[in-house]
Amino acid sequence: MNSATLSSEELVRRYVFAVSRRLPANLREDVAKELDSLLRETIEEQSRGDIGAIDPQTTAGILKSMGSPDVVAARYSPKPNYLIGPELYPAFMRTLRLVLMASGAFAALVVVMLSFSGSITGLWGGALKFGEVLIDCIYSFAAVAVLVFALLERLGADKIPELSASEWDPFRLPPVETEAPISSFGVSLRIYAIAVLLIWFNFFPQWFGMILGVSGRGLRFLSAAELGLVLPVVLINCWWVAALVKNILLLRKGRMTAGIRWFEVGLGLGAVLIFGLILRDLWTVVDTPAFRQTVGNPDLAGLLGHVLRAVNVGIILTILGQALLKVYRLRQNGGTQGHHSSLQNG
Amino acid sequence: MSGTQSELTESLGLELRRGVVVLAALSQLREEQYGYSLKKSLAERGMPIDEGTLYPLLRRLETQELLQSDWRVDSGRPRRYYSLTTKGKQMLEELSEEWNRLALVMGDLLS
Repeated sequence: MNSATLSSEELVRRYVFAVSRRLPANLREDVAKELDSLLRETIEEQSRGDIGAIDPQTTAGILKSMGSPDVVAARYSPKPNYLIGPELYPAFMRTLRLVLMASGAFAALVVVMLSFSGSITGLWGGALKFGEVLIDCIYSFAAVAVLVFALLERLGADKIPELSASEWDPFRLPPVETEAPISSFGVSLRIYAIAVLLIWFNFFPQWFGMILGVSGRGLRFLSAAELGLVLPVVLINCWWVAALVKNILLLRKGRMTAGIRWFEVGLGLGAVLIFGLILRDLWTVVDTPAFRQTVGNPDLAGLLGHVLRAVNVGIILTILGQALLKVYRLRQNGGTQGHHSSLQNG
Repeated sequence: MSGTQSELTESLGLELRRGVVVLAALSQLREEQYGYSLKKSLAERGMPIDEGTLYPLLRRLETQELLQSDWRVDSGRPRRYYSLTTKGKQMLEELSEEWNRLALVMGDLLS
């Protein structure tokens, strides 16, 4: 039937049906009967005539003013028409944030394990695998979270006191976050610097590194080939991306928060891991004849080996110390006190 | 970007009126009425409430045992008549008192 040929009678029938089919079965018949009666009365009285003789356009106007079947059915429905309601929503969002963070960490762990086992080769292979695992994790974990909370909503949020927003303890409120002023210019500069480093490191690795003049020869100890062989390239990239995210968050928030500080602690621990892996390789590389031959002077090679190891160990201890200090301060004052030194990392 | 001033006024006005819809409906149900007659009665007294809000509200108040209803055929048409229950009458009294107190406070605040 063409919509232009629908009579007022048919419009009302269809409207009542559209509303009632969206209601629970036990309400359907009763509401349909009442709605039908009320609509007919309204239409006939407003048009001063029998519904059969009323212009369908007039009827359509009255039905439109009543509201769409979805809206009217939602008002009749004893249960709210949402998947996760206001009672559970804060807990759901907290869970979702945790799920997203866990997905990132899990994906990074999988990629690291696969790269060490040799299942992944090359930077792009690692990046693609990371993306693939991350998307899988987010889909799976987030879907489970949505299903669990939707189920809790159907069971009745009020029956779950530990998740209910109505039951909370004022003494467990988190401390007020004191704003630690940040320099937008400094943070922006750091974002650009990290972005440049990322591009440089991945697209122009031949320019990355230092040339150390030893006995008139050039020693490139961070050449592209060595980067690929020695350094955990994927981890370094992940770390830089995380550092980029942290600085973007910092710029967006405009202030240091406890969450960002914990993020910094994570970055610090990540840096310790990376330098640990570098040290592991460096430890053996500096003792090889190839290294001594490259340096040219066995005594200097030995000294350089000791210096490189010492510098690496020093860096690890410093970063670890900073991370532990941050954890201590966060635990001492709930992560509220700003200390600018924390902005130095990442 | 929020709406214009008139849209904002309309939206806030609607929010203000939404709070008194229950009291308004209960006040007109001291004598039994069916949905459409109640809507007309409220509109005539300066409290127009759209059907999409009023009719579901009556069902909700019935579920809360503030109203009772029964079907009757009147002028050849089946109609559902609503009236206050004992609990509904008590609620109307309490809400009326609250409203009077609020009106005094608001009058004082706005003067």
